[in-house]
Formats: sequence, structure tokens, C-alpha cells
Amino acid sequence: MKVETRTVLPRRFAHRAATYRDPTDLLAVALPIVEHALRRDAPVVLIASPDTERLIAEASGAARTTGGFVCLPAPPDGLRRCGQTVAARRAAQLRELTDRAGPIVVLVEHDLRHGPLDEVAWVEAEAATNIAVAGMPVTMTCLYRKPVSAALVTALRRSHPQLLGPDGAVLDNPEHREPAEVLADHPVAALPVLGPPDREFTFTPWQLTDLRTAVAEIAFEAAMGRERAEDFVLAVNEVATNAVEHGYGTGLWQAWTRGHRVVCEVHDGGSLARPLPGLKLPHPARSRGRGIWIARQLCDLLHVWSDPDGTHVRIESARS
Amino acid sequence: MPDTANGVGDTLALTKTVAEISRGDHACVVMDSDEQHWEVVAGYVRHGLARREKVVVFDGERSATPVLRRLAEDRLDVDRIVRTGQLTVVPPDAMTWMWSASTEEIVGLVSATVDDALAEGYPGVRLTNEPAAGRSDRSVGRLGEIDRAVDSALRARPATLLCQYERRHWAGSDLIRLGEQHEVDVVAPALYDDGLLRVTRAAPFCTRVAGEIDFSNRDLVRTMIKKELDQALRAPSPSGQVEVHLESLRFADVTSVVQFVQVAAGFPESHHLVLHGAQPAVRRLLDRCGAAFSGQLVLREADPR
Repeated sequence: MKVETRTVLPRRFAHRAATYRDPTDLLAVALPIVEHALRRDAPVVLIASPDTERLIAEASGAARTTGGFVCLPAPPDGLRRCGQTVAARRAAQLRELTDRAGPIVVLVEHDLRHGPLDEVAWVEAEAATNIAVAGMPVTMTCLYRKPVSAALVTALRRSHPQLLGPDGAVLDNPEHREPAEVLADHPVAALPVLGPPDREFTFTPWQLTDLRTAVAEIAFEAAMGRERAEDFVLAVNEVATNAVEHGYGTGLWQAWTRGHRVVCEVHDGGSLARPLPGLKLPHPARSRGRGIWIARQLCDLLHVWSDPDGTHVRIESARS
Repeated sequence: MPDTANGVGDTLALTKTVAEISRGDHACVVMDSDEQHWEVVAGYVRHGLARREKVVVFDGERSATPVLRRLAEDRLDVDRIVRTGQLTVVPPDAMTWMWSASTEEIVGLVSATVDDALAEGYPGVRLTNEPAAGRSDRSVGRLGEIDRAVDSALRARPATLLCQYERRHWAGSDLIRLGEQHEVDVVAPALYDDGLLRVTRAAPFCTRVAGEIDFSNRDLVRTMIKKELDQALRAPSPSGQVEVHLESLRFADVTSVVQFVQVAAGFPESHHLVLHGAQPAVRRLLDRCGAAFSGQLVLREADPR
């Protein structure tokens, strides 16, 4: 009977945190994880600064292994305050890798000095990661550099079900909370105000076609190209549909054009049943709940937040 | 006077479909939606071209662009037929001039258009224009006068006329009076038309969807396909296919595309849902919604032009 021996890596998402003081300390934490994965031919994904990537690769001799490293590029600067989009993008990248290679090990460097996110977006990003990567065969270890700031302490303690002890042992984290609970205490922040919109109008379900026409026009003005423009129109339509379906039947659409970049916001008076919709791939048997997930795949940024006035979504895309 | 299905009451008028319009007819059609307008005009043009006639479309306020788009969706090589001159789109300036011209001048223009087509060797010519709006300068009396004069001038000539009226611009009594000027009423029945989405029957168990599907009308999709399946299952010689033509579906939201996929998944093994000619954006969305994994769903490319 053939026995499958490569089952030591979890088949579901494992999200762990560890701390380090300096590059030498980081290597001491990371190297055993990397070597353990590479011995089992599991790809190692590094989400870190170029210096850290080089440090780990050289120390582990990754080039001689069959599993190897995959280094994911840092998100662009425009996502510094949008942890949910960073998480959604990473989830898409990790899904592609796991579909191809099976279980993977991910190391994420969390150093505010080099990190892709502003401090305010860290809690959001970690909670969003727990939603977006759930169900994938990914073992992710987040490496936090000491001293850990107050905001990052929350992200570290609340969003990681497991912690790595000083000896590398995996410990259950009693302070871990579900994403909804974390985000109830630390709501998703609004993005910076953009000023008066270039265009805006209120809409009902029967004006969705006018909204699509308006979005197509600004996408054309931004010279986005047909396919990208069609995708952007679809993304905004899905957000607007949610606004009229789950709000109070009307929504407000606003748009800004900045050269080849187009920004839309959709506002409605409803509340969110759960924070950060559209991060988790819906089950194929479900006919609903797929719109925002697809919208997130089709644009450069999709940021959902709520406040006492209702629910707000910003969507951005640019000519590729 | 009884009204026809179009509300154009003329007891002497024949009722025909677009395909049944024959050379020499002076027909009218009352439009309820843009999709109907594009469908009817494209059909009128297409059948004329098939009979090797020259077709002249007088462009108006709303532009002939969507009509040309519909012709392309109907798999016609629009560039070729425009380049060869078999289809001529007269720019809106001509329509603007016509509204200020005398009846004699209009008749002269139309007669010259027919003369030119015959001189070019075409056996016949088809004329139509954008639907005339019911503005004060386009009164029923004035339109009736022009219609009668053009009709007299073209009688016994190999010319076919299709006059279009939009229902929303005219009172019912006006439409009756305008209808009386025409010997043929053109009907273009639809299974559904809400101004955004139009569904017509192309053949038994074969429908064509034109326009846009979104939150305001998407529940129709599931209902319509289920009804088609129900009828297909009850048919004495079931073909095993429920076909939907998507060539003119210009937008579909995620939920409606998921509905296509899920409805197909519910088909019995004996039947398939066949989707024809989805445009690239709809096709990409079908792929994103798992169409490739639905065994009962078949995607077919549009027929070559």
C-alpha cells in the first residue's frame, strides 16, 4: 500500500505570528520554517523586503532545493491604507500557487519601516487575511519586528490563532478573535477624502444602466482599454447593485478622474451584515454573494467601510 | 375601428413580420423600445440585402450606430456592405433638411434615391428612417401629407418603405391616423421587453436575448429558461437543447450569469442549455462563474460572418 508521507503541512489555513529583534534574530526564527518546508518540497512564499528575501534565500541555500522560493512583489503605494485589498490580492496569488503546487508555506515580514501598509491598515489586513485565505492549504507565519507598536500589537494578538514560542514551538493563542470581532473593536478606516467629485448622481435599481453608461464614459476618458473598462464597469455595477439591494433602494455614485486613473465611490444608507464582504470565494452552489468577490478581482482597489451614515465603497482602476 | 396588436387601426392593413415585407410594400411599425427599433431595422436591412436590394437608412436624432452594431451582431459584414454601397446611411443633416423642405422636395429626394439605386443595377430599393418624434413641427397632418405624396410617387416602382413611429411620442389616436396611411402593419412580437432587455423567440426552444440584464430584471432569466426547459421536456420530439442567443446581450451582471450556470446545472441529463455567441465581456464572466465546469451548459461561438 502506498503511503502518502507529505501530510505534515496543514491542509487548511494556519496563521501564526512570531517576533524578532534584528535580521539575525529574524533568520533564527525563519530558517527552521523554511528548511522544514523545503525538505518536503513545499514551495516557500516570501513577502518581505528585498534584503530579507536575499538573507533567507542565501542562508537556506534555496537555489539547490527542488521546492524553491516564490517572492511576491510588494503592493503598490496606492494600497498603503487599504489592508483589505492587499489581503485580497495576496489571497488571489496564493490561490493560484496552491491550485498548482498544493500546500505552501508563507513568511511575511512585518516591519513598519519597510512594510507596504500604513499602521492604521495593519489590523484590517490581518483580519482580512483570515477571511480571504481561509480554506487554503497555506501555513503563514507573520514575523513582527520588535518593538511592536500599539496598533500592530492588536493585529498580532487578535488575528493569529497560533503563536511561535522562542524555541519555535507552535502555541495556541488565547487572545485570538474572529475577524468580525476584531473589526468591531477596530473598524475599517475611511480612505482620505478626495474633494468634490467630477461627477455624481443618485440611483435606484432602474438607473443602474445609466450608472454603467457613466462609468463607461469615464473609463473611456481615462483611455483604459476595452477589456479593462468593461471589467471596471462590471465591478462598479456589482457594488452599486449591493447598495440598492442591501441599502434602502437608492445609492449615491461619485467619480473622479485623475489622468489614466478612475476612482468611483458608492454610498448607501444600509449597514453591513459582516465586515469586509467579498473576500472569501463563495461556494459554487451559492447564487448570491459572488458579485463583490469578482469585483475585487477586477479592479486595482476596492475598499469597503461603514459608519453611522451607512456603507461606503471606493473602487479604483487605471489603464494597465 | 379595431386596433391591431400595434395599436394602429386600419382594417385594410395587412399584418406582416419584418421577414414577410415584400417589394413594393409601404409598411409602418410602432416601436416600444430601442431594442425593438434596432431589431426591426436590422431585420429590414438584412432581408433587403438578402434579396440583393439596395437599402437606404435615413439617419436621425438617435444615430444609426446602434443599428449597425445590431447588424454586426446579426453576423453581417457591415464594413463590406457599407463600402460597396449596398447599405447607405444618409447622415442626419438630410433628415433635418427634410423636416424643413416642401413635400415636393421630399418626394424629389426619395424618387432620386430610387432612380440612383436602379441605375446602379439593383433590382429594388428599401428605404427607412429613424422613428419620427411627435413634435409640433412633425404633426400627424404633415406626416400624413408626406406619406401620401411619397406613396403616390413610388407606387408601381420597385421600392419598399418602412415608416417607424415611437409609441411614447404619439397619442393613440395619432397612431391610428398614421397607421391608416400604410397598407402593411409590421409586428415584432417579443416574449419580454422592458426597454432594457428584450427577449424574442428565434425558433422552438430557441430564444434571443438583447440588451442588458441587471438587478432590475434578472429574475426573468431564470424563469424564462426554466419555462423553456419545461416546454422542451413536454415536447413530443424533444431536441435535447434549450438554446439562448446572446449575440446582442451587451451586459449581464454576476448574479444573472451565475443563474445561467446554475439553471443549466439543474437540467436533466437528457437536455443541455446552449448559449450562443456571448460577447467577450459576458464570455469572460461566464468563465469566472464556472461555466466550464457545468456539464449541462454548452457555450458556442457566434457563427462566422
